[in-house]
Amino acid sequence: MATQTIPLNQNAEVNSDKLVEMFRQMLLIRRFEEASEEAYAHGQIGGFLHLYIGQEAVAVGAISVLQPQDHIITAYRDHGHAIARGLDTNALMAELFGKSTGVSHGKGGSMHLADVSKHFWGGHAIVGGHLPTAVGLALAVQYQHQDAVVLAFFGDGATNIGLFHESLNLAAVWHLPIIFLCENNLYGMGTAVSRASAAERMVDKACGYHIPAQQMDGMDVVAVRQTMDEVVSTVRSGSGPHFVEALTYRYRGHSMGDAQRYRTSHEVKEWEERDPINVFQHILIDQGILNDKQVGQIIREVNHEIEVAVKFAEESPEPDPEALYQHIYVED
Amino acid sequence: MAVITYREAIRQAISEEMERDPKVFIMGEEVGIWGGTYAITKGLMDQFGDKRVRDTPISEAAIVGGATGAALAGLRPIAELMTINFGLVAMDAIVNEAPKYHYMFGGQMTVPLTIRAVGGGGRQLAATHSQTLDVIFAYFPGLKVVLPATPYDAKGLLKAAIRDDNPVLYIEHSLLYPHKGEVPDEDYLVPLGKANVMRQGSDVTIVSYSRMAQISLEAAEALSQEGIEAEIVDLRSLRPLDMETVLDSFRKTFRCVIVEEGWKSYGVGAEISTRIYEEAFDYIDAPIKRVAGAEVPMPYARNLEQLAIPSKDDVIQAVHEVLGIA
Amino acid sequence: MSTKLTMPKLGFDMTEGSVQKWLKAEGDSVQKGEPIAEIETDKATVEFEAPNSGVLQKIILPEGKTVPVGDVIAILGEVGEAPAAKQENGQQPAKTIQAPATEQSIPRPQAVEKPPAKEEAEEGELTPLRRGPDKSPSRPAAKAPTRTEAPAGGTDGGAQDRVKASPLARAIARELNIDLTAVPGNGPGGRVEKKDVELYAEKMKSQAATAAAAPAQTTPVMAPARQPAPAPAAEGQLQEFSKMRQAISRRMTESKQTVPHIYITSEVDMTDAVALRRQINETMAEDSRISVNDFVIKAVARALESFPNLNASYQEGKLRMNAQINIGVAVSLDNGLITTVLHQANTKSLGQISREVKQLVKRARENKFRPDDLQGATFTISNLGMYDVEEFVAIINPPEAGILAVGSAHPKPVVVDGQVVVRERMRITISADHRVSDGAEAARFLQEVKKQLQNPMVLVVG
Repeated sequence: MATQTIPLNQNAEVNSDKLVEMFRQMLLIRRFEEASEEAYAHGQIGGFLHLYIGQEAVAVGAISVLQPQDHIITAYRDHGHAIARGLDTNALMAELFGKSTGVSHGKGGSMHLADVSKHFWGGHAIVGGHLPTAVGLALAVQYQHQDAVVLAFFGDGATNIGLFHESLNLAAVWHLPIIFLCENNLYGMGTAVSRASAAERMVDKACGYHIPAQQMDGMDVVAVRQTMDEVVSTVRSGSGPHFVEALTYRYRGHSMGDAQRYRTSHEVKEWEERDPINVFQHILIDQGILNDKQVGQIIREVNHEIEVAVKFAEESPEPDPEALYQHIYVED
Repeated sequence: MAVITYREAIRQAISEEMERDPKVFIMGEEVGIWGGTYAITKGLMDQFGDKRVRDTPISEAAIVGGATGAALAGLRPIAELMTINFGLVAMDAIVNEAPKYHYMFGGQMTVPLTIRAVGGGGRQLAATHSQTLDVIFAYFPGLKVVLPATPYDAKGLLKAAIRDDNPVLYIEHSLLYPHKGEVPDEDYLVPLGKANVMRQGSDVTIVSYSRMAQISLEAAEALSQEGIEAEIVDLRSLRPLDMETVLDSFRKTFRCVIVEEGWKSYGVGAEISTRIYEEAFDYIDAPIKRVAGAEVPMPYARNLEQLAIPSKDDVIQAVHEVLGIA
Repeated sequence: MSTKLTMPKLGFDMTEGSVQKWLKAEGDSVQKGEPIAEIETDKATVEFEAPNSGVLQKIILPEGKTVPVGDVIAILGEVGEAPAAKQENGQQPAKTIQAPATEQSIPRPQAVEKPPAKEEAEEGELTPLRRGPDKSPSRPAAKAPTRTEAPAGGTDGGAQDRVKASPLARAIARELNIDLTAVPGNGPGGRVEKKDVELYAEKMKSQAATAAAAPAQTTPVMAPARQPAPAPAAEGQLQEFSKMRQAISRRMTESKQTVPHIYITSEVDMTDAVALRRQINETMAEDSRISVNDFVIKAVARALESFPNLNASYQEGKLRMNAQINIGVAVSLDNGLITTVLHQANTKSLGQISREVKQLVKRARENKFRPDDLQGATFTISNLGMYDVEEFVAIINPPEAGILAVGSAHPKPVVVDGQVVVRERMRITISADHRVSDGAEAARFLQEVKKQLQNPMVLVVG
């Protein structure tokens, strides 16, 4: 796999403040995931917990090019996308803790983070189930002649379900403003892509629907940003749907309690050497955008924000029992 | 009051709502150029254009799921499934996405979606195309399921469904399309979740809905010749279920027959009768009787198909049984 | 310590009463508040509840016999207490009576030979003894007394469960105190259904009436020479008056003979009230709709605030000014007439009046009164509007000072501002006790009622 990074000076549009903000977001995601892993071990978080550690560059790089009016929808490994979109870490952690102050008032949990005010239409837990919804969001944009695009995240596993194919086809037939961003982390749960998919390159699956498709290095936030910047502009200008495959890797198991019999620790180590945060930190220091002291300061700030979020989640009240029967329907 | 068909009532509802609100549009297989497999949407594409009357590929999951996404973003889509049987390949979208969003995301999202589909048997379409699957969908909290039995309800319920901020599955019956009835000239709505006493009577309550409500009505007219006055409650909505109207009637007649086209096991009759046991035990004067479709995959042959679908005579016989008339 | 239970006063004018039915037998344990007898007054049958928990030691007043209020009718003892005296009727095995009722109310045969459970508890042998009934192989035997304890009329429990009857039939039998085992079932497989119970109840009633009439029928046979027997068809059947009929007959005669009535009629324009009622009812469920009579009750109750004389009672040459305005509402029943009471009607909203009157009428029709339902009326309204009655006069219900008779509201041509127009008109007639009031006052009262009804909004808002 190509591991080239794009020299920063080639991307004139990225100013240093934006780069520092992206770095801070990646750290925030990493620390959020580590803290939630710990809280899960303490029994403070229930259900499934799918950690995004290792994939931070994809969410941060892709979402960094979006405008507030654009729409985002994703699958169940959704913490990173939510943080990159700027959802409040207190409310996100409280949702994981099942508290009434959570983004979904404790009704959704880790897999169902959303904030409609930020056009963040949720984590979705049925593999591929959110892709038709994403197409519908794009239809609404087109129908109402809005200047917006839809960014739909999903994993390599989702490309094997029928919903994916119906969605790509319909989006192409209707020429909708949507970017299908496939995060290929090499495993659909514990089944390697090579064992589950006849086409090992996800981009090949878009070809049958005449959707332009390209791969990018999902471990390099700058590369992700640059690719997505071009793709989003193209789609925003009315090109119809686009497909992007981010080559990435998750360091943790599929969910908590995954024995990871499907891969070697050596493989994980190899990928960790290309850790997107370390790599980006070195670039920022090499380029003179940040010094060690400033990095230390950002890390302290991020740690503090997450400590506050955990405390907020711990101290928040559980949902009122009356909430059990609230919001089944929109009442008149 | 104009006398129109059930088919025309549905068409008028769609057309009027599209005229009233530019956010309303319809998408589905053959709804546009073809004019609808059952000719419901005939002429609508000419009237509203292909942006608002959208032909789709044969992709039921994407039709319902796509409409769900459009509804999330503020439109009021009508997703048409050519038949309810095809809803089975869109199950995730119908029952596990749209009805969950409002609750699962803590009330942030609303899905003002109407799914239209036609159900029922009687047209020799055999096992996969003749099913009555209403109860499967009615099982899910978060989804509303309504089924009109008359042109009046067909129009009023559909308009109410389109204006409702929740996902509503609106199931038509193909044999009712030519059925005629009075419909007001002015705009009106039929509330979702409210049953209708179609016929007053004092001797027995017949609970039914959709085409079987019409069959029950025919049975009631015949029973009236024998001096038996049946009260017919047309549920109109399986979820929310209006048990108050059923119980009010039952507490008057003390006897009940439930008529449904679907299979008896785990069906509407099972639900209604259990609720009567729970809510009105001391009013029961005879065992409650269920009339339902034969528990077989629908056969093709005309005579077999007729045997599989409840008839007027089946209803009459059941009423005789609950009244103790041999 | 035993308690003497006396004939309760279940109405302010009740002087005597009888036990129509004992719901408990001697030796039965009863809980505080549990009905132990049905007391028949001249107005209705009211359940008599145990004032405290204990064992019904002795029944003194047999069913059907009338005694004055205050007479001892039964003795209630504490749990475990021996009966006061040997029982008279011998319906129950002595063993059952003597067996101390345990907390579970399941007397065990063994208990008879042992000291009372209370003492055993003190001896610390509580656990093995209490466990006895559960583990004892003689459990079926232990159940036997329970079965004999069941009153004959009881429809719940063992024996009844073996009767095939619909739940509705069971509910009706319970209500009418009918033993379902005696009712022939005509439903499928001999199931007793609603119509069977009703038929049986009807039959029982007419049998009782025939039995009561029997002696009268024998008279002509015994003395044929004295008097030619009238043709049977013309003679008809002589029937006993029901308690209620007797009461009506006695009180109305008393009223007409002793109270000097004065009658005044006025015609009220109900057009606005009828329209307002329709408007209100459009938004209401069928069972909570407001009636014209509810408006009348509200208007009368309000008007009485300004006419205390008409809310008074003539009492032995003196006038009792009643502190509350309690409106009697005459309810016609299949077998007569009863006046149920809406207390402090002047303080209640129209909606509240409507709801409470519906409940009162329902209880009256089901013969399930609460003691308050029947006593304390200070002024009565009798409305025959539903029978298309132009007007009528009513007889005062002593010791009240007045009664208002209400006819139908219906459209009529009337002259308004020199024009003939159609208005909803309703005639009301007051009968007032001339000893406490007079014509002018009664007329002013009617004017006030009329004013209220013709400005119905004040009845809704006020």
